[in-house]
Amino acid sequence: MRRAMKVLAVVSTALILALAQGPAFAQSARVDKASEKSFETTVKQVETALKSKGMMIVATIDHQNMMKMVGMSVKGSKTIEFGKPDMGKMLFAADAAAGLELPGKIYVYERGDGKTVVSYSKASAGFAAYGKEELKKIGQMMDMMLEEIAAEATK
Amino acid sequence: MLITPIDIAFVLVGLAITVGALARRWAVPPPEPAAVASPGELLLTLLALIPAAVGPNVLVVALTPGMPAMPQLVRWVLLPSVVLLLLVWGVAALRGYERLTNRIWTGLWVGFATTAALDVFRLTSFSLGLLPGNLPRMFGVLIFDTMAQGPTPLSDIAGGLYHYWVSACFGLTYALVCGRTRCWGGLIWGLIIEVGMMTTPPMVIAMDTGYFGLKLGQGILNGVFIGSLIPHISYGIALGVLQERYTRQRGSLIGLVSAVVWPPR
Repeated sequence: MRRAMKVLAVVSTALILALAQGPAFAQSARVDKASEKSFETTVKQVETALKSKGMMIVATIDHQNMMKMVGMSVKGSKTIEFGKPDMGKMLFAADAAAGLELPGKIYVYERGDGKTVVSYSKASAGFAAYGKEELKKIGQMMDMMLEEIAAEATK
Repeated sequence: MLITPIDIAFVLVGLAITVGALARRWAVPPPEPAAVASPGELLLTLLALIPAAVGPNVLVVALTPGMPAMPQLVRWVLLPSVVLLLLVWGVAALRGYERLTNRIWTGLWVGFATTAALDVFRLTSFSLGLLPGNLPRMFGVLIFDTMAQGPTPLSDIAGGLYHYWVSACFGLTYALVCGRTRCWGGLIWGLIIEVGMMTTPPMVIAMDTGYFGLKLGQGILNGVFIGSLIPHISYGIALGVLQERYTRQRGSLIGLVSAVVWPPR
């Protein structure tokens, strides 16, 4: 009985720790940067910053406009998907399975308080799951680049 | 804005034509005597039924898993079907098949205009949240393959035109198959269309409502079903009232087939 209680205590402690770590990890992977500019200006600045880093914009998903079709009014929210051919080549050379992480994306939205926010997930967090050194490096490079893009877009 | 000025413009045009046509022919004129049927007229009638079927079904096919998408279907199936209809109409006019030309013209314009009678209730249902989406706007982004960007005025016009064309095709099918009927015939046709809409991919799969909106878990009297049934009843009544006044001759497609296959001695 005592042994069973011990096992139960260890298992539940591990479970609580795991649950507590999950959101914490997710939080550290997500980056939110408030912009001083309006929504539209921020979107334009994100696009300009991406292009200045040699990124190609693959698609822009306009959630606000799409939601109108289903009778919902939402504030400005766009996802900008982007990629860079040479980075794609490096990534596929390292592990084709990591194609799941492509294209990169930045989400720009108007928060409840009226501020525009530029959000993205750190690429290194996504690539970490593959356990490859090359991918880790690519992830770190992309993190730095995304940080610079977000800084440029929100100033 | 959930209901766009383009939605309203389509409704106003349709209502103006419907009301004007009804005012012009308030009393139901007596039917004209049926013309002698010929194999040529039967063949052209059957050919005219192809574009009438294509109009609504390109959407059904496009939203069926594994089938080509709307942009391809519009380019390679829908637009050629419109050309086919124009050719059939032209040949029918040249050969003097007045019954057929009357049915093609009446079916198309009545079906087109009375969509407004449907839209008045459809847009109301949409505004009340009964319908899950403003379907013509979705048709537009499907036609241009711009779902990610959402609707634009151009896609709204294209979607609206497609929506009205589909109804014109239903009007055409009714005129070609049933000929001149009493007005309640249109109501039955509207109810058949409703059943079709509630059981085909655009609603069942794309809108994820399940058959007759039952997936919403509110029983058969759910918002989607009621919000769609009332517009189709309205469309059916308006269609029946105008078809009765503008289709000149009685006689169904079955009658036409019988007259050609077993000509009266």
